[in-house]
Amino acid sequence: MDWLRWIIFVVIILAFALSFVMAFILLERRIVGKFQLRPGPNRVGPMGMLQPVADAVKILLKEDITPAKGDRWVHRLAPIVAFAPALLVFAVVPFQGKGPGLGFSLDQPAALADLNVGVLYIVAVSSISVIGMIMAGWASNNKYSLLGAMRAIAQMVSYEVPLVLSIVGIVIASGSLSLNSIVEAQSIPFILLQPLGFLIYFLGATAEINRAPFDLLEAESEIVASYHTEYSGMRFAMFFLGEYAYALGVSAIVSVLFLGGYKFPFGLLPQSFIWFLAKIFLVFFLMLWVRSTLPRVRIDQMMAFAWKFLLPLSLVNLLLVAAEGVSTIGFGWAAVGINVILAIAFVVIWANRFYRVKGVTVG
Amino acid sequence: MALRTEPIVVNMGPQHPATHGVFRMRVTLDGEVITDLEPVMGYLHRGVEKLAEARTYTQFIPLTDRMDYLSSMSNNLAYVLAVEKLAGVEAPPRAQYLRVIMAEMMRISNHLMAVGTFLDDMGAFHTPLLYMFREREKLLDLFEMVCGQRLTYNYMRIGGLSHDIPPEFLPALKKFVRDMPGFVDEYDQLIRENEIVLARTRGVGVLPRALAINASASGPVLRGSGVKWDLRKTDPYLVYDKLEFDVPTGAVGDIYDRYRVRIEEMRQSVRILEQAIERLPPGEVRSDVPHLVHPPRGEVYGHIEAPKGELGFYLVSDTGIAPYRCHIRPPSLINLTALRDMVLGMKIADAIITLGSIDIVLGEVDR
Amino acid sequence: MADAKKPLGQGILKGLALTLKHFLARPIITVQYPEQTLVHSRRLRGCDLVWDPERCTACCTCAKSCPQGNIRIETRLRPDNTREAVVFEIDHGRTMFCGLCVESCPFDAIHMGKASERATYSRESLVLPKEKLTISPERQPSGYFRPQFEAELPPQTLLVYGGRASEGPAAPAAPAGPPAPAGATPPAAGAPKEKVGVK
Repeated sequence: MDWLRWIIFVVIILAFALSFVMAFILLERRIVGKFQLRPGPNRVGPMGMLQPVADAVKILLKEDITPAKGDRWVHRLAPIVAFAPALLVFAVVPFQGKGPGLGFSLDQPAALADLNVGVLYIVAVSSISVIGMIMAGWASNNKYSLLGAMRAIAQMVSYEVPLVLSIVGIVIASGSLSLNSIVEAQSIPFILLQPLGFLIYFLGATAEINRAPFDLLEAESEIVASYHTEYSGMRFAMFFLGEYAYALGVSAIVSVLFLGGYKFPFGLLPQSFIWFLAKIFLVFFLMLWVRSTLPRVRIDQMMAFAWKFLLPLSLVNLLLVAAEGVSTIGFGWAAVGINVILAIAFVVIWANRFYRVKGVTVG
Repeated sequence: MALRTEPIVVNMGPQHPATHGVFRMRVTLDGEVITDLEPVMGYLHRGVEKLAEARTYTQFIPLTDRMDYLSSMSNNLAYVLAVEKLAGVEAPPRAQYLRVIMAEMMRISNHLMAVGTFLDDMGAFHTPLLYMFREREKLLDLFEMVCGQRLTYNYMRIGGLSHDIPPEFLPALKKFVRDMPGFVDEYDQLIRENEIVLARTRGVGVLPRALAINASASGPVLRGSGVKWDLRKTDPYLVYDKLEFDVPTGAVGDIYDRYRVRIEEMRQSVRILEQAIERLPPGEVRSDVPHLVHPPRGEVYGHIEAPKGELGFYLVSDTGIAPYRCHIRPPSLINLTALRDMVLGMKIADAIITLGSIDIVLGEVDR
Repeated sequence: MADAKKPLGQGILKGLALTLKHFLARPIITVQYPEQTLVHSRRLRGCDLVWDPERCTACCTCAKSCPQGNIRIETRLRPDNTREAVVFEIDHGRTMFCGLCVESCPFDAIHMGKASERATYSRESLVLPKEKLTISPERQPSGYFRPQFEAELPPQTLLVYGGRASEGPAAPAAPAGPPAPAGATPPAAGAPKEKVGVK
């Protein structure tokens, strides 16, 4: 029966990922439009719902161009390498847990594979896409692409560190690497228990998937379209879908790790995948809100932010969580109070310190 | 030991999204750091100065619209003031006040665009730009009401204006003037203290005071460097000497100062508009000037404080119906020449926003 | 200029609050063009020039005042010793609609048109001979430099008043739909779904 289950889940995940990616593309444009006092795309279909379809049809009809002096095979392979890991992430994401839920109950967690090293798997898989970006940047034989790829390496490598360290805090608190167990462990959502960790993870993940204000990779006003400057048609679409698939992936991971996944907050209502999807949209909305407000940071400021701000804070967070774990405080409501206060204090203190370190006078 | 790397030369433009038109920057990069920058201009050269010699004085007015197309009214004004100086005519008082109103509306509109696109260059994803367009559209509506078009106004005439304002213009402008300070506050709330904006713009693209003067910069670029130089005060034209306003200046001459100067100038323009509306006299808007002007032999340099800086027209007359020679001093071209000094040693992202903070329009740079 | 003592992050939070405020209030400021349109200025210099053959004396002042030399006129002497224009041709692809011809016409025979939707598929079709330039129900003059037409035209809608013509309750509400261009979907009956509300 395992085979049947896997096939079903593969189909579900593909359908889920692709339909949500389409929805995200539309939602992003609609929501950002609302932030900017305009309706957003509303011409194709009711409320513009068919806009992604129209875009997809348009883009698939375009010519697939390979630069004459580019590296042909690497150029062709790059979008696939960049896109595939985005889908792989969903293999371990639990949609609903074991036992009774809203409407129906399951005899095992609804995930393709409830891997006992799920967190490690996600961290490993999501780092692959940077190789695709570098391949694209190199093979395009274009200076903007190369600059973009250089930025990609710098950004991915630096933000991976605080990102993983903030996940370690989760692992300590839940005592497991399996995503399903992490969700089960969240009787109090980890966003309350580890607000600092959430902040670090969210900022780091925003940088990982190149969204504003860390969208230096595709800083269109600086380096045109960065590593996908020379891509068109289908292959451009893969990069484009890959970006949104990563946004979806990060939203899903944040809701699993910090927002309690498929559980309703504090167990007021039975568990269901509906809560999980709602949380995904919530996280995505947060990203859009940030995107439509903030300008982009500069490359050196972004690196400084990773190494001088996020990394020390993530170590502090780790220390804090570990200390609570071994002490009598534990991970109850007492820890929530302590952590929220300490998180605010650390962020404010370190932010001021961080600014002074860089020698930038504000005001 | 520092690792020696090979510098790469990047041609930014002429079709680059952040160059605000067809302008090319030949940038030599060491990694992300700019080691050399060479501006290449002339992609939009249309020979406007030469065209002036083949047009009558009046016929050239519509062409001035097309130089700095974001502040056409100011171009009109600078040109007709120069011709009036040459021909020795003066506009009636109502026209003078209306010209001030138009010029200040234009200044607000231009600065909205300048700040908006500059923040766009910084990657603020159009939100500030669209908030600013909201007000710019209102101004364009008013311009359309007066002269029938939204961008190329062709409103000033030698010796006045082409026609009077319609009766519904002033109430609408008053409403705008009442609302505008609130909107400027809104921009401030969005941008002014934003830490990312501060980190990106403070101490970046610095144009020192001495260099600004030596480079003959003008407008917000010069005032951002702390030089209190505004032709409306230093060489008053029209009725500016009767109106009360301040000249905002920056301290350091960095990008943030230029941005602040523009925002403050919008507030000052609103102040000027309030006073000008109040004092607007009745009467004619066009003095009796023949359609074909024959100015006496001679030469003249007329200049105004356009939104982007000092816009000057140098005209030589040989008593014909067309200028013998017309030379234009476009502010953005002169300001642009200081670009290289501002960005050397900076990151590539800084070069983009420095260019944005100069506020160039290529129609004017290349003419 | 900014106060250095303010806690960091405050500026970003302020900005976030502002965008959220606009998101929640949703003051959509754009106009959904083919369905809704704003009324143009009475003095519109649209994409159109209108010629009145009955008033034209073929004096060619317009042609002389054109900065582009874009008006082509050939005249003929009538038996009663007046002139008429045999050819009166304006290339609408080249004109910049500066309005100097309208301004200079001593007999009010050429006007700016009030149409703004005059797209065609070829440059040749933009060269309009006098039959096509003639004033007609489709080619109506705007009030540019023609006060006699200006008063009759509908007042311009202004975004300052949120897309209405003037302040006050008596103002005609909202942009009216124009006659739909051939082939386009007719505008939905009744009020438009998204109302034009401008702050």
